[in-house]
Amino acid sequence: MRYCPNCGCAHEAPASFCQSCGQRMPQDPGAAPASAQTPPPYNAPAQPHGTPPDTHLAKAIITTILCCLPFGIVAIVYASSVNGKFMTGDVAGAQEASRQADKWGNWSIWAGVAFGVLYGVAMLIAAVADK
Amino acid sequence: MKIVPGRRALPEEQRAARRSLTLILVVGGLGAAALVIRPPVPGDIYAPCPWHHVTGTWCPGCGSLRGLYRLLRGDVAGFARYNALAAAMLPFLAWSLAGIASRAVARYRLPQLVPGRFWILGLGLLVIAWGVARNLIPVLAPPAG
Repeated sequence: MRYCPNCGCAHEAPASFCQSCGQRMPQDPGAAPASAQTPPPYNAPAQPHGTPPDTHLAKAIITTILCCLPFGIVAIVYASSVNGKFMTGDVAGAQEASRQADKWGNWSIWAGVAFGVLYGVAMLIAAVADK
Repeated sequence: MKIVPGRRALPEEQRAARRSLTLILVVGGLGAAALVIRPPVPGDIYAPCPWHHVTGTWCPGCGSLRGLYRLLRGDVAGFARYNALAAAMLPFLAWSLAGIASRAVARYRLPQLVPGRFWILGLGLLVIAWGVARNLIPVLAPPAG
């Protein structure tokens, strides 16, 4: 069992390239760096040459413009720090920033949906009570 | 700005994209159905912007619901009249949605434009500047009705 140094996918058969991400596989398992021998989580590349974690920027934009501005701004600030941290080798920091951007974006969306639904229900109750 | 080339998505990425796509389709479908059945009119059942309700000033998102209703009818210019900044973001949002759909259905990550830190922070400042500008320049504020 060998693991792709880029994405961490396991491969049974010896392969020249990772079947998931296309990364060249180390040819000699004995000569491979130690980090390639242990399975990292799939989104934790050992070196920062892989794909940086998602910034969830689309979610941040939607929530900032269409929904809850304060939460959206927090998501944008986290999103902005993802790539910088990744490029300087702080992979864990980049992943944490990515998670935070995702979390604030989600909270913002659900807060907006909940507010809209509660308001709609309140309006319906008011309309029924009037009759 | 950096372009990350497309690649085959990981199984985990496909699963996450399927969850996102399902959620978007369900919530978006319900929202679109509500807008078609009951078009948004100020003072009707849809929640007004809390910010506008309390302060009386326009926030960066004001007019988006009425704008989205125009977009639903295929009227992009109408969307832009109600919220030009939201309309300007449409290409980016459309590409993001296409990326989620591609990961979910074809297990393929589309090429991505990854903006650097200052682009993203600049976007945040642009949103705030837009919120200020539409209170100063009447033509940028959402039209009545």
